[in-house]
Amino acid sequence: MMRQITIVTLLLLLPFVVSFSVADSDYTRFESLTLSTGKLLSDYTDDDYDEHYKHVNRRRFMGWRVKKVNEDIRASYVTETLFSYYNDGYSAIGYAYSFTFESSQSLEVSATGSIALKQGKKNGAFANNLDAALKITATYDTESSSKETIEIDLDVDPGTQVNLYIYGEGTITNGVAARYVFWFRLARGGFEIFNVTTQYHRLEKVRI
Amino acid sequence: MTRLFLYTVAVFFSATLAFLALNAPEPFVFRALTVPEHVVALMDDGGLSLSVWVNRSDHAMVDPDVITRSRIESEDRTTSLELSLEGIEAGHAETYQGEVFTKHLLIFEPTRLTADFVITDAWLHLELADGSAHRLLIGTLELIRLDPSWEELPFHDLYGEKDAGSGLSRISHIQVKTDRKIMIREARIGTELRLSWDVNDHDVTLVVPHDTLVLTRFPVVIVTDTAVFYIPSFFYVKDMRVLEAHGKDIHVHTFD
Repeated sequence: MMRQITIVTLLLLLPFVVSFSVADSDYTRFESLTLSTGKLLSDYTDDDYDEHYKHVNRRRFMGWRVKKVNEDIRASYVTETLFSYYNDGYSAIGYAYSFTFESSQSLEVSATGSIALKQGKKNGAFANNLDAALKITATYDTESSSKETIEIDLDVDPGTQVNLYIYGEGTITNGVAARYVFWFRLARGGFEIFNVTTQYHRLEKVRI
Repeated sequence: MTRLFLYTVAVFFSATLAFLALNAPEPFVFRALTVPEHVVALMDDGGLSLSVWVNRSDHAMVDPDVITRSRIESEDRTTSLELSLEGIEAGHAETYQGEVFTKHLLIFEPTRLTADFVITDAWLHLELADGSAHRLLIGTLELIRLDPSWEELPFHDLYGEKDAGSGLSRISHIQVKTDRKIMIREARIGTELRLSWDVNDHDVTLVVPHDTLVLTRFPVVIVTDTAVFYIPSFFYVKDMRVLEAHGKDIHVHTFD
C-alpha cells in the first residue's frame, strides 16, 4: 500500500520535475544589453519575483496567468566580435572576404523558474502555449533561420587588425507567469522576449 | 418509405456538398514582393545582390534551378543588362498583410563594363523554365566602374546609422575615422546622390539625403583636391521590420 502511494505521489510530482528548467538564449550573452528604462529578467531580485508573483498566484482552472512588468522597452545591444583578421606582414594586403553568419533572429526568448522553452526550436520558443498567452503573433517569427553575408573588400595595412561586430536596437518585454491545470500550479517563473529591430555593422581597424 | 429514404439521402448529400463547398480551402496564391531600393555596387568589387520576398520557400522565383535568364531593365525596356545568377540566399521572415514572407537575396556575378551603368526605374526581369517571364520593381540601380586612379580611403573605424526613431531601412549618416586628415570637395553615393559632410580632425560625418528608397549596402566616393578616394561597399544595417516600415511602397507581384 505504501509503495503504491509513493508511486502515485511521484507520478503527481512528475510534471513539476519535467518542466523545470532554467533557460537562456543567445541575446543574454551579448557583450552589452542596455534598456532605456526598467530591468532585464536577469536583474530581477528575489524581492521582485515575490512582488510580481502576487499577480499570478491566484489559481485558475486552466491556462496561464501573466504579469508583464516591462513591455516593449527600447533596448540597445552590442554583440561579440564577428570576426577578426590581422596582417602581421610588412606590406598592405588587399583583403577580400565573404563572411556568412547566422545573424541574430528577430525574436529570442528566455525563461527562469519552471517555465520551459520548447526543445529543438532554433531561436527558442515558450513551451505549453505561453506564446499564445503572451499574444506573440506571426510577426514574431520563430521558425526561419536567418543567414547574412557580409562582403569585405579592403586594404589591411601591416600591423593592423580588422574587427567586425554588430550592435543595434530592439525591444524587451518581460514579466512573470504561472500555468495552472485543474487549479494546480504546474509552472511559475519569469519570461523575457527580446525582439531585434535593427542590426548595425561596424568595421574597425586597430594597430596590433 | 422508399421515397422518404431517398429524400433523406438527397438532403444529406446536398448538405454535405454545401459544407464541402463552404469549407474548401482557397487556392494558394504565390506572391513575390520587392521594396524599392537604391542599389549601388562597384563593378570590380564583388557582385550585385537584389532582395526578393516570397510567401513560400519553394517559390519558383527563388529557385536557381528554375530561373533560366535574368536581366535588369528600365521600365520602358530601352536599357537593359543581362545578369548571370550566381546563387540565392534565404534571409529572415517578416509579416506583410497577415502573410509571412521570407527575404531572399539573388546574388549575381560581377559585371564588367566600360562605363557606369545607371537605371533610375529599374526592373528585374526573370525568365523561368516553364517559359513564363516576370518583372519585379527594383528601384534605382547603379553599377559604378572603379577607376584605377581611385584610392581606398585609409580609415580605422566605419559605421552608418539611421535617423533616431526611423523605421525606414535607410542609412542617414556614415561615420568614418580616417587615418589622415582629408579636405573633402565632393562626396557621393553612386553617381548622383550627393552627401553633405562635417570634418572634425580625423572624424568625418557624411550625411545622406532623406528618401524612401531602401539604402543599406553601398560604396562611397570622396573627392578631394589631391585624390579621389572610395569607401568599399559595406553592409551598414540590417532591419527586421522592412515590410512594416516600407508598406506603402511595396511592389506586389502575384502569380497565376
